[in-house]
Amino acid sequence: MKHKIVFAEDEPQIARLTIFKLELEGYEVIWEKDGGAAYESIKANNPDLVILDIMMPVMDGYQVLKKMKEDENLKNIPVVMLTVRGQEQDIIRGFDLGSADYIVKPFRPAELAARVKKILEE
Amino acid sequence: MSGFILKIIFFFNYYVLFYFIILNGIYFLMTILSFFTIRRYMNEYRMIKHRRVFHSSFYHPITVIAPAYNEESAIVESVKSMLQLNYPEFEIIVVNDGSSDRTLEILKEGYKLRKSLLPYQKLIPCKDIKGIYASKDYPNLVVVDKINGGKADALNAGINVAKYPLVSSIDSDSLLEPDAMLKLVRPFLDNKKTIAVGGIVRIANNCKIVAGKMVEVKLSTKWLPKFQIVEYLRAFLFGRVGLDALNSLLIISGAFGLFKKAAIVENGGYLIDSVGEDMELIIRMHRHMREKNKPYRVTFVPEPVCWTEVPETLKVLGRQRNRWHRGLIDSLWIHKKMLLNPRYGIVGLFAMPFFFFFEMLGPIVELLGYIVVPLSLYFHVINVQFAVLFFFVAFVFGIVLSLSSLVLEELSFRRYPKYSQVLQLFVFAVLENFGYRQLHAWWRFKGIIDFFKGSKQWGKMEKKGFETNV
Amino acid sequence: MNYLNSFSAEGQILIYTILILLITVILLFVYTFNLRIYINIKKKFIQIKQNRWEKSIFEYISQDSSRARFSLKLRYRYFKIFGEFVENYLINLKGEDFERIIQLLRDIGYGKMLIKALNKTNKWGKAYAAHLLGLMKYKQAESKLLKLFYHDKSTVVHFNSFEALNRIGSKEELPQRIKAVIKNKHIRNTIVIDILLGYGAGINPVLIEMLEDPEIDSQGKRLIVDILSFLKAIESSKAILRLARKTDDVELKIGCIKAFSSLEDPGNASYLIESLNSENWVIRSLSAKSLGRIGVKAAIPVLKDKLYFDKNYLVRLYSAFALKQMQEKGLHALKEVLVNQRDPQVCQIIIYVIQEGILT
Repeated sequence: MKHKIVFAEDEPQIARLTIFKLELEGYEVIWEKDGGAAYESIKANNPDLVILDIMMPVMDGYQVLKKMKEDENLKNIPVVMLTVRGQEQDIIRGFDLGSADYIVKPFRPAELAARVKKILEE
Repeated sequence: MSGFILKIIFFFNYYVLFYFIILNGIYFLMTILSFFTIRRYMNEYRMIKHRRVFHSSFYHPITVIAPAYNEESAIVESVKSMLQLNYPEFEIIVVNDGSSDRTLEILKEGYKLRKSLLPYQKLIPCKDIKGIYASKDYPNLVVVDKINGGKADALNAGINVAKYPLVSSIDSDSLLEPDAMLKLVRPFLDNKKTIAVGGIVRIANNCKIVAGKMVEVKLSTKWLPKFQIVEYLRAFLFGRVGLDALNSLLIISGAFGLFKKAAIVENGGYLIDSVGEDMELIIRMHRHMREKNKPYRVTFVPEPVCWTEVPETLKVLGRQRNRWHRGLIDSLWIHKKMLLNPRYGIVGLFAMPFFFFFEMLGPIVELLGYIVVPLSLYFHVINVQFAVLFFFVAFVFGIVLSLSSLVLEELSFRRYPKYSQVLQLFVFAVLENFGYRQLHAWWRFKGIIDFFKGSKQWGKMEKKGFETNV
Repeated sequence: MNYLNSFSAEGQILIYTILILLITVILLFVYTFNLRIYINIKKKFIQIKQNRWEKSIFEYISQDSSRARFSLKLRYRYFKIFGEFVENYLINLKGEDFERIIQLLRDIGYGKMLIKALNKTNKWGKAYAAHLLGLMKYKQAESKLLKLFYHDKSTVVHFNSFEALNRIGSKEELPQRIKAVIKNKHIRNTIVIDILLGYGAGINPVLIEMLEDPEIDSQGKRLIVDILSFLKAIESSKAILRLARKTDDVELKIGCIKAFSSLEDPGNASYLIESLNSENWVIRSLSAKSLGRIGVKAAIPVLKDKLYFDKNYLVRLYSAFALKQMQEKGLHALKEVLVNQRDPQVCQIIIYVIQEGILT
């Protein structure tokens, strides 16, 4: 069975490239361009994993993550944060809110795919 | 006797002509200046758009003060929207200005507030603070409960409690773009002399706002807000940008500005009895800094960053403009000493006279013009041809100025995406010269009269609610 | 024209004015709409182009490098929009995909095109070309960029070529270049900081050396101190201490004391304790804050003294915070002051500090 991933990222070029790479690995990826839509999509699609960019319109990554953790049905879905802020406190904040992993931009799409694979195997 | 009156009328005509030429000359100059300033800003913006997100620890932390008076219905939502601000380190201080409704109780329930012993210093005068509350869920939310004293007093209380070096005041009903503060803070980092920064306020009527964020910019369906959109574009895109380029910025909107706390404290805080406390503060800062010969900078970021609701009925709008004008007169009157005083540099020699003779007395000249010119025609003091043509010139020039601000918007931010919206704004920019402008002059004229009538009854205490000056 | 002659001279001037203004109105109207239409068409055009480029890039990336054949032809006049397209990849990616895209750009001659742009366009175009060359790490542009850095009058070109040289990794006259940028008052502080931080810790020795350079004014030194402090460059501690002792500039002193707080080097403790007696209250309060952060127990008696007697509220407040950060001994000192202190405000501070902790 194909694993389903919701991917929230507002920069379309990077998003499309990443999706292209993830689809090569055999995942089904649903792309959302802002935090609000991402949250709705997560509720509707019940994915196996969520990738959230932190800087996004409508809701930022932290807010989406927080809302997911408050929801009984969604709180067990693993979340990977994608961030340009390489700073400690941001990463810690993500982990505090319950993210499973993080990737700092600039990033290697292959590495993202590898981490996603690892989390989904666990 | 009648000869004397005719003479007055005759000279008044020349005065109007003179006034018209000077005023429009200044406006024209400002348009040109704004054009260059905004073009430069856009180019710079394009260059830094893709830079790394600036390292957060270099940003100065910010205190956002939100005064609240009888706002039980909306307060929880608006605080929630403020807490979403995208900024590395900030606190929100909600000042409950002795509301008679359940504002405080609702905040207590909504944010699980507990009483805090948070120490503060009475740096500037304000009414007694009854209690300070901290939130369990949001460590950066502080609620101050104080005795009623009006908006300026509430802001002063907030400044006393603020713990960060930069403070900003925002209305609970206006909406900040998420990265508004990141943009406003840059002048403070670039120039250590900066003491105050303002940004552009836009009209939110009928826009689609979801969960405290702007989702779609739309034009209002009513005509009055549309006039105001054109008016705001003009006021901000070339009024303030132009004044800023001339280093003569005297107004930073009460709805949205960022200040160095030390500078506010040094200058004594907001004036409690003023109708236009925000403008008065800026003028006072200019005055004190120049008297002390301290280098300083008051500046403006030409980016749309704050969205606010404007009145949709003539009655409310008239009242608002009346009050703004009283605030303007009040602020200028308090600092009349600066007028044409070379000691205050460009502020004394250009900014103050500009505001005094054109912004403040403008409505009188304009309205008298509408009366005297027909009179002169009747008495054959001036040439009919000349008068009619002159009126035409005045109107068409007004239209050109209104349109130039739309062109500036088109060249820069283009926040209204559809052709139909641009077309509508064009139509309203033309129409505003026939009716709206005269009405506006009338409201401001009434403001002048009310100011001189009202100044005698000052000192009467009443419960103060607040309204904001843009 | 005969009709016009029936007007007086002033009347004719006014009529001409009206005509000119009316024409302006029409021109403004037409201009705005044309601009809007032009921009929208351009957007669509760029969209189409970019979609095509994107497709090629995906094909290229998914193939084995040995068989890679690339079908992308680029015309010079599209160098800007192509730059806007490719910039996103260069900024957000690293690793093998990044390398491959750079290789591709070289193969299609984009680097050469940008060097051509450095000679030909206006200052914004030059700045942008320099920026892209930096992102591409295009070594061949080094000499040209150096030339622009030293000789171009425009500030944007100046700092963009500087940043590009950094990205390329040019070692040529590095200290002089950094000095030139810090001394240039037309470049915004935010940008200088951003660029210098791009180096990472590699330039710390250069920066530390510059702290002693008499040619750099105190504002420039303040900037360097801020950067070293942000990078937590502990090796700069001694130089900053020397600077703090030497300078008369209050702003710079404040910067140094803030840096001591982030460097957390106990070696600066004695200077900070001395500064508690400075005439300037900002320096006193920040020194107290730094002492608390570093946790200098030797400062407890002086801090206690400050909490009792200092005229300034904030100095008292930060002294209390500092004491709170010094565990048992500090807490003990706080309680002692509380018992003996009469001032209700100070008592309130102490109770707050003991019960709720400190403010950051």
